[in-house]
Amino acid sequence: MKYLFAGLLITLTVGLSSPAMALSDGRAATRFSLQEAADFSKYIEYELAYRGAHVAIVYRSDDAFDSLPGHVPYSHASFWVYTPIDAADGRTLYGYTVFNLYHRVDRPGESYLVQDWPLNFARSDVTGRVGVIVPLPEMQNRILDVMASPIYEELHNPDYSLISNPNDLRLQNSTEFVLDVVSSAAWEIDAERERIKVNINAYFDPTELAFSGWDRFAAPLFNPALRLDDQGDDVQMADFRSMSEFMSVYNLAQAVFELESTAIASAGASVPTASSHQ
Amino acid sequence: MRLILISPLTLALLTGAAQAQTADQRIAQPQSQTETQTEETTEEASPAETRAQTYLRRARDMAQSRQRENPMTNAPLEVHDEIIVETSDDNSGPGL
Repeated sequence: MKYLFAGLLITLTVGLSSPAMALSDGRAATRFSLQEAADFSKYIEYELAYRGAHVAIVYRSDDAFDSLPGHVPYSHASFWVYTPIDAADGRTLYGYTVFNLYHRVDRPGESYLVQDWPLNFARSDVTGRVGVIVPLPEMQNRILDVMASPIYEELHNPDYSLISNPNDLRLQNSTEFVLDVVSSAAWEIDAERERIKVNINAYFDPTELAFSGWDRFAAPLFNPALRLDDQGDDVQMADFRSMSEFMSVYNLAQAVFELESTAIASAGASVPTASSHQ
Repeated sequence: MRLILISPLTLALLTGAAQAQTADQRIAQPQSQTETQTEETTEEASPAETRAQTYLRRARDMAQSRQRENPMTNAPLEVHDEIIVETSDDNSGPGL
């Protein structure tokens, strides 16, 4: 009997989709080599610069496409900000820094905000594909106003879930944080998350994830970063699709597109540059 | 808050790989978090937070200045060719 029970448990465990593999904590994945990640990060930078983006929202996959129940293609969102960078050798470089919300490795139910670099972003990508939203110039300025003020930190809720409900205040992941910052900028309502949620509830159409009853029960057992306390009957999140629809419908974005690392190889390893597009 | 992005060993491997495989891509290191010049600081902020805020203020000022000069512009921006890699003294925390 005990063998039957063990066999059943193994069967159920293997059959469960495995969100535990997702790395939303900033650690590097090993899907691509460092050189491939460096090339892809530079490719993204060049494409953003070509479009004159002072701020862009870039989504990546921390794990294979189908690792999350409901097949969420992009599980991490960050702001890429164009700025002068002080190099260690005294030069001033112009390029992008990346602003993230990561969950902690040792306490996966808790998140923190951190600035890192395009290479870090690309090192954690596992699909070689990213989703990009470039806000309108006026929205870029408003987002930068929020980010450069204490409002940015005040919008952060450190109670983390890999999948958080954008209509609920209790938990927050990187994609919901980005939505909260964009909403604060769009409605110019500072850090009042309660008011932000009222507006999101009225105007934002979240992505619904196909969570089975088994997923809802078992997924949090296998991944402590996946908490569903803030979800209702449906499991919802803000992802690239719902965010790009929201920003396009309400005329907040100037461009929405995806970039693939394979484009670098097909272009003969010649990444586009700002000057080459002029 | 500590920002540990790459170990010295990994940096050496990356540097070597980059030199071997891509002649036109160079490695650049940013100024450290404690060395970055800041116009405003708060006593509570860590060096990492202070540097991040410095970058954001510069970015905001640059974007708003550009928009004042030409409100509708989305002309291409110049971007450096280097790969920014940050080193740290210890090997704890998330990194490459």
